[in-house]
Amino acid sequence: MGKTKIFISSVSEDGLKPLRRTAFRELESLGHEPLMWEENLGPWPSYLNPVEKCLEAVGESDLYVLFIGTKAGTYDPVSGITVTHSELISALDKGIAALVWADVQVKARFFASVAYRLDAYIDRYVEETGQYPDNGRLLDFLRTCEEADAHVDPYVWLLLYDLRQRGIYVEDLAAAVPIDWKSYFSDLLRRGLLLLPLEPSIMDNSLRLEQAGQSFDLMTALLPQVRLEPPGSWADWLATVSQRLQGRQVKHAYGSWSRETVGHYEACNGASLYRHEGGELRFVACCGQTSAVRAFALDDQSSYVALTYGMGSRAEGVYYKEARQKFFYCVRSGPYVATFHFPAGPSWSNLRYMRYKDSVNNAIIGPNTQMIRLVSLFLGGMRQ
Amino acid sequence: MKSCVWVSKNGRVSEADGIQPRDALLFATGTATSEDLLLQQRIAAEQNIRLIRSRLAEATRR
Repeated sequence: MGKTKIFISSVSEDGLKPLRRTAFRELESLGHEPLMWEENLGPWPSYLNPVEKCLEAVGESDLYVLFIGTKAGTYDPVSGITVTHSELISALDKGIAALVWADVQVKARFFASVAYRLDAYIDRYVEETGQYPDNGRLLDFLRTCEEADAHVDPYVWLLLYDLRQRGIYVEDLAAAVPIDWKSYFSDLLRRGLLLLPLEPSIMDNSLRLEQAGQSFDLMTALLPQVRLEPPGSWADWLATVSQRLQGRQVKHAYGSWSRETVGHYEACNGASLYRHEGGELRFVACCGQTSAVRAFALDDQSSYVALTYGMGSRAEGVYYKEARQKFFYCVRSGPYVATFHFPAGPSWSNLRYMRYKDSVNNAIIGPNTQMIRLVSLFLGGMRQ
Repeated sequence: MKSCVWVSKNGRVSEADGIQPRDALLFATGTATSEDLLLQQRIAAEQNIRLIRSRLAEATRR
């Protein structure tokens, strides 16, 4: 029967050594297989990189346990993170469950003040530069931050900040209070037992997802081979599509993990369709809250319809107009340009759009990729 | 490709730089297309399915 491998991670600081030793013994006595540097990991021959070997061991474990005290450990200026932090990232990246404890006083200070000072600093930095500050800058800030106790290595605050950003709960670590491993493992067992019986349902769902993907691929392969008659009502056709385009939040990603909601857009409330005919883009139909313009000249640079058409036969783009407080998603397929209109949330302005253009683009297009592909193929396949 | 913001105002398109009038039309080039995002989503879904299946196989193996 397989034993649970538990990687015990922490900085090698004197204050945490007894805790690590006790944890190792207790986990072993409970029938698990703990892995820890001082006990059964390394030393390795000099030609092997100990950090890489530790990361390998993290990857082979079933559970990652982290103790955070006041020391940060070895900091790698090239990657901008500590070895302990890279172990945590590696565990989370591989989908390994993590249990984290932090010194009760450090944790209290972090959540009472340091976290908010970091939030404010990062917000200000992003506002001024449009970029997320790298760890070097954050460490410089923490060295001057009055709330960040001088006896705590600045990187410890960054590690806690990362854990908060990822939504990982941090338990209190107090010297006189032993860790109740039995309770933690009983809870983990309960959670695992809730999921394990669902194996057939999860497998069924994954199979159906694959089948849905294969059906979509088949449809996208077949559609270009046929010619379609235009629908009886283009307005109904547009409404059928636009009713499915929901409003969403716009999230901006800073690196791989940090994400911030920078605004939202509402559900599509109007759509229009234009067709290249007689040297101009002629109105075909519209639905919802949009007005019809009879035609646009092909070189009309004030029109998102003409601009999209001019970008190529399969062009698409998201436009923003502050005066109308709307985003317009336009897609060209052959002679057609379809436009879908989304009211922008109140936070949007020209400057904000310019700063978060990629996030707006991904937020509008990302949830609708398959629908957009179908719209494009249907329009492209219409008999002329 | 790095994305770039363009502005359409007074019937002309130019690269957007600085404060723009409220009635200007802004758009970006070089951003991800629906095909780019669809491909990313398909790859992520396939990876997730593989991970879930391997974990379930491991978890239910006796």
